[in-house]
Amino acid sequence: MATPALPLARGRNTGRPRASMSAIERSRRRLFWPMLLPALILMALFYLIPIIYAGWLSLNEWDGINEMTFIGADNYVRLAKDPVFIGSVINTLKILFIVGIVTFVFAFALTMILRDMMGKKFVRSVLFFPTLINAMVFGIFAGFLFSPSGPVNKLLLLVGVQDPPKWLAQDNLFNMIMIVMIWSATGYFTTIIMSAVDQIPAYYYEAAGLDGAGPWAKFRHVTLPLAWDVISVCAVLWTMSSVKVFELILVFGGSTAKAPPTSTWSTALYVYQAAFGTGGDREFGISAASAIVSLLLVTVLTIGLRRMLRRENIEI
Amino acid sequence: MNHVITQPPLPTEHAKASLPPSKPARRRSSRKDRISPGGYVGRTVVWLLVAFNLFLLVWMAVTSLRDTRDIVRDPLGVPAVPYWENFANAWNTGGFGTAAINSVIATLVSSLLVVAISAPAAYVLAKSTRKISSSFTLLFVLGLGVPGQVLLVPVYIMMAKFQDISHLQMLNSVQGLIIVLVGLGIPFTVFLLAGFFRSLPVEIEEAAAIDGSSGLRTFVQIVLPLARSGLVTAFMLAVITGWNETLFSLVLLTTSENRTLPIALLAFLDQAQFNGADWGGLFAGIVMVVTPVLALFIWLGRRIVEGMTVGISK
Amino acid sequence: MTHIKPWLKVATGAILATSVAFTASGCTTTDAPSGDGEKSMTYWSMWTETEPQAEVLKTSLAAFEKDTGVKVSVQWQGRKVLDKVTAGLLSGDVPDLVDQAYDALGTALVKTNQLEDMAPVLKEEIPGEDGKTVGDVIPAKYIDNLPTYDGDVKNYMVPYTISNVSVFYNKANKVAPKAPKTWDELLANCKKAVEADMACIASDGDATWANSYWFDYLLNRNGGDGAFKKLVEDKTGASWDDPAVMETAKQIQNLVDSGYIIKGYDASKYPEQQNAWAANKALYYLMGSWAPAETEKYAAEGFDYGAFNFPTTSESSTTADDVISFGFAVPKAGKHTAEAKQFIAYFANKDRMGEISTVADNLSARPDVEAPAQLADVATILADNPSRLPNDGVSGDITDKGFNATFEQLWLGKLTAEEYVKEAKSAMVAYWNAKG
Repeated sequence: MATPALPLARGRNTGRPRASMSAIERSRRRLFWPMLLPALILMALFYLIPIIYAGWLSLNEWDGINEMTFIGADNYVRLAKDPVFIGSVINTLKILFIVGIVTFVFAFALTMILRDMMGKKFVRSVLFFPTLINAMVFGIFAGFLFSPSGPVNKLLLLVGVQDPPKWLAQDNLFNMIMIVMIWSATGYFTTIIMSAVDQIPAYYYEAAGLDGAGPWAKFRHVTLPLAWDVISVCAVLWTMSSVKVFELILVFGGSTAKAPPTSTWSTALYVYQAAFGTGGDREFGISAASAIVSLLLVTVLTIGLRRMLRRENIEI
Repeated sequence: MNHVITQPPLPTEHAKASLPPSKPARRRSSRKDRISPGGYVGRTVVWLLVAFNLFLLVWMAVTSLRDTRDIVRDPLGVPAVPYWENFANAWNTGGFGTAAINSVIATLVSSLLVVAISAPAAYVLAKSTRKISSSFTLLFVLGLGVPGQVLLVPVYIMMAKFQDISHLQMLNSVQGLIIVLVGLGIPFTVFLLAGFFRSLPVEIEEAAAIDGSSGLRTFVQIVLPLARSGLVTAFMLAVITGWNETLFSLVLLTTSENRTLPIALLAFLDQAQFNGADWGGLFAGIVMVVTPVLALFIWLGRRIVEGMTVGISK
Repeated sequence: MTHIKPWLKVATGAILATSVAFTASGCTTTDAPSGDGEKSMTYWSMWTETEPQAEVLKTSLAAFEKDTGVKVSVQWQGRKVLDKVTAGLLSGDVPDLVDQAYDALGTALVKTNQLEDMAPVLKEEIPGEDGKTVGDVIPAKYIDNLPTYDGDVKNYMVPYTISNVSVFYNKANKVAPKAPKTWDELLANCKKAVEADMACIASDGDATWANSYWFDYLLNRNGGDGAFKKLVEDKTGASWDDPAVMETAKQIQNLVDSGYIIKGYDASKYPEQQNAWAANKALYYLMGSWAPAETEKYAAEGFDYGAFNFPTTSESSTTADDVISFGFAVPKAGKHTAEAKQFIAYFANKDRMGEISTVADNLSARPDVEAPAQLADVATILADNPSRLPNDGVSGDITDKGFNATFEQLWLGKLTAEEYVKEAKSAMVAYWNAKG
């Protein structure tokens, strides 16, 4: 997947020249399997086997109770024809690209603003905090704050807005979800980008300043190129997490005890609803097929993004 | 947002390598620029954002102490007298008491186990020169990219099957959830800890080896204490992930006596059908979900932030 | 051999750690506590422990234990109980008794033939009622019209709570105290309400499941019984060309265009506007008969809950009303099905089932139990009219993934009636097409 650029594979100690195998090396070799095996077994049990099993399930029709029947690629054909599934893929892509890009722009803006601001550590902490909270909480808050007679509209009325936006209308619901995501993710990415920017030596900026560069030029010619690798890693991180978005949508769009409107579903919601949704049919096969599609999605997107964001592809 | 947590602090060395070695950045002293008008706007926006975030926390706390009727009438009001009954109701009758205990057990036990299992693996992967170890490292990295929903149905069915064979309660049990949390947490924890172990100086181990201590003893007595801060960070992050886990808990845990807090919160929302919403109780529940994380963050915030971010930008 | 291999130490350590952890979490097995020949049963409930309905059941379960010696273990699962039952089927952990609404049971368990036939239970005598049987006291119409979901068993549930869907209003209102009988009367009242600066109809835009009651009822009045089912189950889409469908869509569009639906409904989350209705901000609310219980806390001073049957649109309209029954069912996989059935008959006793009305303020399935004051009108509607099922018994994917999304557009005023019929037709054809 993300193989080529992951530096991890090269242990730092490999560079160390060693004439012969030392005692410590030998004892380490002896310990290699016993120490690795428990984690490896869990990895097999909770990642490898389930993925293979999901692949197998996706070729079957099964309600979890009666006999499983092999139906080949039929589930995938059904998914391709299902407007709800297509919609959930589109929503996932919206989360990835729209939320991703806006979050990054905000994160950079914040980084620039915070750089020489008083109390930046405090600000950063406050903005970072939402990352740590179960997103469900924000779903509940949003439903409350943005309801037609809720606090936000009341405040707007105070400043003279008679006809406030219909925040929670079905058409806006997904946009609202995206806004909440941007809000809660910005702090996290700001923190990462800030620590990358902090590594940039000051004299780069001084030199740029002497050449008459304004803030934008400094950003464009110093910050961006020097932080580029971090940005591209962040992009991969965001790809991985955007495909997982679940809790926020589950609670945000949903009426009590009912599934959220299909127009807000992400692929994670679709997988859950197909297999465990309320009042629906228990379709493990369809669920597994949609899960496999989301796995392919994340793989293709990650590889694609890494290609696209490669340094040599960017003219800096 | 627990999905963000399951992310690796990728130590991209390019970023660092591409910079000339230099003294630590001290740019502020040398750049006493005046703040541009745009800067003022930006700062105002930032402080507004900060104020909003803080307001949310305060509002949550205040609302949890208000009567449901009052909340609906005026969502922004302040109670004349704190209405502590919300917490009593949520804790006892709302099932949040049991859920809180379950959440604490599931989170602590699974976090301990995942660190205990990941640490040795991360150590050998970080230090081994075997060719195969880089393939294994890659395997764990790839695991990080697998969305939870891919594993949901298979893991669920496997747990059911295992329960059938072993007669150990796996579905609808805290112990089942613990196992799942441990299994799912392995890639991230191994990944995080491998980074820490890699940064430890080799010389100390070598000295230990010369002293004749065995590999295992070196690991337990010398490496682990040295890596303590890394272990604590890994543990904290596992705790936060476990505390917020919803997708698998929702499917695995069913009865009220086995629920964790996020699931209790969802069940509380469901109850609004037929018997009306109890917003006061709901906010009390939210406070219970948020407060421990908030406390951890205030106490060990730097470490949590670093665990989640610093590796990336190094 | 004294030398212990290091990996063995690690393995022992890991096992130890795991076992310590498990002891800490109180390792439990699936083996039920054996009662040594004692009779027992398990019940998974749709209620959570503190709800009034749970209190009622607790009382009866305790009495049942005392009277029969059957030990009952209860799990108060809450509304998603059937998800847990289907999950349990996978692992062999199944209760002997469950309860839920017929449609929830239908999609989860009836379709796959997982429930026992309750016909024999209907013939059981009720303890303490001089030979009266369960079937004598629970009206057949609550049982006979249950859809079978293509399963083999017809009587898979014994109802104990009856809900219906009717139009709720505040009898103490000044604007239009008289309940309308026809659609035109309802529209006339709506006009009055709007003139009195009050909305006519409360609705939460996101609760499409509830808003579609309007369409379903209107289509029933316009097109007769079974019209909805025929419409959404028609794979060719031809039924959408029926003039009754267009008429229904136009009636909905009229409600929207006339501004009769409460302001802000298109941006609200259930139960926001439901509460607004209880605060006298709207005249009517078409909802299940749980509406009074849900809104009681928010109701305006002096609010007097009343209800009327959904109006007729023409002389020939039916007056059928939506009945949603909740009741007990017995999974075949349970180990103590006999005891479970015994309890069903036991609970059917007037005093016990009556508490559903007197304690939990719901309508019990026995018409001879007096209805709670808030639901007195509902009880009359139920007694006086033939019963039908909401959406003609169609539920699950067909509505959630097929019908609802387009209807939502009509209800929210984004589509005209003509556009709606056209789009809904193609959406349903696409739905069936994807179903394969």
